[in-house]
Amino acid sequence: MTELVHRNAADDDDAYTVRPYAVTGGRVKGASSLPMEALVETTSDPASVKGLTPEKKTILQLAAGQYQSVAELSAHTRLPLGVVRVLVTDLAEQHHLIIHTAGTADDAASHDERGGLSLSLLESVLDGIAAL
Amino acid sequence: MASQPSDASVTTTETHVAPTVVKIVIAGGFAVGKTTFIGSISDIDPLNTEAAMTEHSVGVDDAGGVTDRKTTTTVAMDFGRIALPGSLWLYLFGTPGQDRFLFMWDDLVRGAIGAVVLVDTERLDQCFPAVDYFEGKGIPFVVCVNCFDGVARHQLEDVREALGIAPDVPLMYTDAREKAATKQALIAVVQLAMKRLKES
Repeated sequence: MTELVHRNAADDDDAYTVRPYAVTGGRVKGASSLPMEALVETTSDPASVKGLTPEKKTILQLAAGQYQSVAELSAHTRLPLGVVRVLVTDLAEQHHLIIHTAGTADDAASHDERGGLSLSLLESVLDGIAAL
Repeated sequence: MASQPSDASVTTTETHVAPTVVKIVIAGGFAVGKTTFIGSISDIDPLNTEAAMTEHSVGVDDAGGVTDRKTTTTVAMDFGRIALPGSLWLYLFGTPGQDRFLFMWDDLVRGAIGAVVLVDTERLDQCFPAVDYFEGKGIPFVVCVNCFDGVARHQLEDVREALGIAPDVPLMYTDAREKAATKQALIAVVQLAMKRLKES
């Protein structure tokens, strides 16, 4: 089979069998700003949703009953980050999952007017790390 | 928004609140200990995610030839996660180790608290791109000299001079294998971000 996506030499054993854009239905743009640390929560029962691609179904299963970041979904599905962003955005538009962005750059409430994280949030993070 | 009962199963009844997520970027040269650093304090074993990208490379060819073509490559990033009290999740994202993927960092650092730059004093030049990048973007960063075998081979002030970093950039020794040490590095980043915020 032709290698469709070039991979690092160390990862040759699990090369993609389809091009990423085939998985996303040809779309590559539109979801690129979704923070990689945004959390995904499945709201539909993965078993009862019909007509989804295997990749989308897997994402729903991974994020069922537990929060999963976009980055974690990418790691667990072994799909590139950009592909997962498109699939997650699609699934959210179809109301199969919810994307939570509290704390990320997409969340105005946790940031000051210049886009930096708010002092109160930073204090909570500092206290949290200090208590580890 | 009208919220009719039939919508409840779709929009979810908020019986719980999703964690607030923040991130710190762990940067440095290839094999400087980024993944070890992340693994020392992460709740989960470091995971690996990849970004496939198309590079338009002009005049760069491994075989030495002149090229003008597009190639697809993948870049791997390791990351970990720490649950903090108060429903806070801290993600640690390691940067791709090679300089030529610096353009990816914009995506990585967006919304980040700041960064830890790990330094191997035997290969000091490898951290230059990271230092340049964070200085240029005005992102709070601390520089941590990784003592691989627990031995510091260079004075911190010599490292500061060699790197040409400003006096107000925190510089410390760390041991990427030790949670106590990596924790101090993370604390330093958050404290620096708070200091910057208060000064502005």
